[in-house]
Amino acid sequence: MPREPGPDESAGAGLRPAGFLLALPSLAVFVGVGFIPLALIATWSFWSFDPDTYWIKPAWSFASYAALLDNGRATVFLRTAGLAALTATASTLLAVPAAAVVGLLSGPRRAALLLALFTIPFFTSGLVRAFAWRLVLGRQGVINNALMSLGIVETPVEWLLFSDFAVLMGMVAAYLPFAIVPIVLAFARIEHSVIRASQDLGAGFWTVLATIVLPLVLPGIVAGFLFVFVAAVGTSMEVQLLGGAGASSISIMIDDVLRVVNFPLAFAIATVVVTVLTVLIIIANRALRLSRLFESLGI
Amino acid sequence: MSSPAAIALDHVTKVYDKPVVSDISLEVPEGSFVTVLGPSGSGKSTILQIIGGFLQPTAGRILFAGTDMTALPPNKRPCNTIFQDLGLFPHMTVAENVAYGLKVRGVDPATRRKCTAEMLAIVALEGYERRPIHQLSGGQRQRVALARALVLDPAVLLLDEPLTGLDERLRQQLRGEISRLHRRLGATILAVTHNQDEALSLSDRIIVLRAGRIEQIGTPREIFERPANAFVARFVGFDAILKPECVDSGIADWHARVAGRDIRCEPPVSRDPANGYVLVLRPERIRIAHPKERSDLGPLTVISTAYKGRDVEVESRLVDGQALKFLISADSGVAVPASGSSIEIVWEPIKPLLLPDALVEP
Repeated sequence: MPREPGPDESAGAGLRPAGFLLALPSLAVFVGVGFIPLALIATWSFWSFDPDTYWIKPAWSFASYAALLDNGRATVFLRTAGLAALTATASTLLAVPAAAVVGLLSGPRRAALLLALFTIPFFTSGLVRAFAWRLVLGRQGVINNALMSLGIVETPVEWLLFSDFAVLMGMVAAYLPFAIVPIVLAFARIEHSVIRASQDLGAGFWTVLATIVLPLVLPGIVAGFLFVFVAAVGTSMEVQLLGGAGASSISIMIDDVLRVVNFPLAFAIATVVVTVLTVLIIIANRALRLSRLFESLGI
Repeated sequence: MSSPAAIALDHVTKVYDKPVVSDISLEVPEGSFVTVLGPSGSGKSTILQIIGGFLQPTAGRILFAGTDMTALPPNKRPCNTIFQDLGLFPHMTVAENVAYGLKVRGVDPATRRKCTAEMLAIVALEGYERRPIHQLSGGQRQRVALARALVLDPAVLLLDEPLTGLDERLRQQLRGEISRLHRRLGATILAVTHNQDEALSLSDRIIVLRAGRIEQIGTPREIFERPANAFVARFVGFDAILKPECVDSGIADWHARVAGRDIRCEPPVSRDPANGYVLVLRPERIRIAHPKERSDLGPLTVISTAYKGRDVEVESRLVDGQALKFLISADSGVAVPASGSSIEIVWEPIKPLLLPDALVEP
């Protein structure tokens, strides 16, 4: 039986000078491409913008943040968050059974094969995949043609394409693997001896599921939900290609604001989004120790 | 027998590609501690899993107190297994682990707390109720697993290699613990192990298993003093085994001829075995003869010696080419023979056993 590290061992010995040197390359990358750009964005979001001269002045101001909720932007924030939450929920619900098959019920060979299959859609560009949904959901698409030739409907079903439903379909298809991977890791971490022990102590199938499997997989489910949610909040492609007239998202909104060179406002929107997502992830990690999921990967 | 055995296996066979367990019948009497002893691959874990309900036998029945429960799933059987890897619930505290089985059975919270507290006291884990499992030492984890199973008051407790994988100090401590629990709670225990010391010190009765078949059933003393054949003998520590050229029956003693020497032996229990006899000795009962002493066997050429702390292991070869390993005391007063030297050995007053030879390990 492998001994788990005690609380004092896993707390980390701190970075000794040699450890610090070894961590330097990754630290440099993290600071260079992660921290500095974010810090600049956050800083510039507090500068002033003069719409008449398009002049961005290094004068501290909260004007951009005050403008966040103007012109119906609040609706876009809420709609984007809502759609992302819906996408993440649907993806997670689909991912749990799929991940159970991969992580709990398959041997290592089949698990690797199935995981590889889940990633094959990524071999094509996301643009192509989003566009492909038009051919499936459109008025002359696969589904409408099938429904009409079967005589189920007389005229094409209109709400299939250029609707929130289409955007949801496109996003779930695009981001499902993000949900599957952490849940697979969570399932793979469940030792069979634990399940066997609970059966031995009198638990039937549903009791094992409710008292052992679900609590142990919960961190993976939350991580999967967050992965999809974060990706879905940041997307614009599915909304642009599959959404209805006037459909928008936070990314499209940022793009629009950048077109009129209002950099401080665009940065303010970005800063709010990044902050909210970071806080969400920190809270979830604190509550459920999500980072433990990736220990088995040696990361 | 007055009351039916706590567990009985009735002609149980399990076949995968080959038979792993062949036609095993055994009984574990109420309140006894029975050990199935065998090397890895002998099918002992399979037997445990069949009793626990984790495997279905290909043929045969499993009876609990006389009732056939062969078809019942693990959660419906009146036994609990402690597997080698324990399977403690990592997301629960010590108390939650121990109370789990009671909770599943729908026992009310007050009784649950009371039973859990009592059982934690018995395994000396009071004060650890709220600890998470990953903060416990190996020995504490074993005791949580014991408490978790015993709190359900199982008709039979099944132990899978209970002391394997622990360090020596912990092994001795836990061996005492299990023995104490067995006596105090009067629990019926069936353990499987490959360790003869464990089997000899813990059990009322030992079942020696080899390649899915029972070789011998007996008390530890019977098994140790009268092993049924060469396989059992080797397994309980008779490492000094010689193949005689011929064996003659006598009135009091039997005689065997090894490397030209006539050796007095205990009369064998079984006559005319299929594979002939072997002559077995406990390696620690052999000593090197003094120059003027009448020896029991010799001459032997010393191949090598190895210091083992308490003893020195001497590897030697007879003139007919048979190898013989034995132990001499590592006291400073006893001279260690040099490699290549010629020695004679003595084992009187004890006499070697004549046992049926077992076929070569499959």
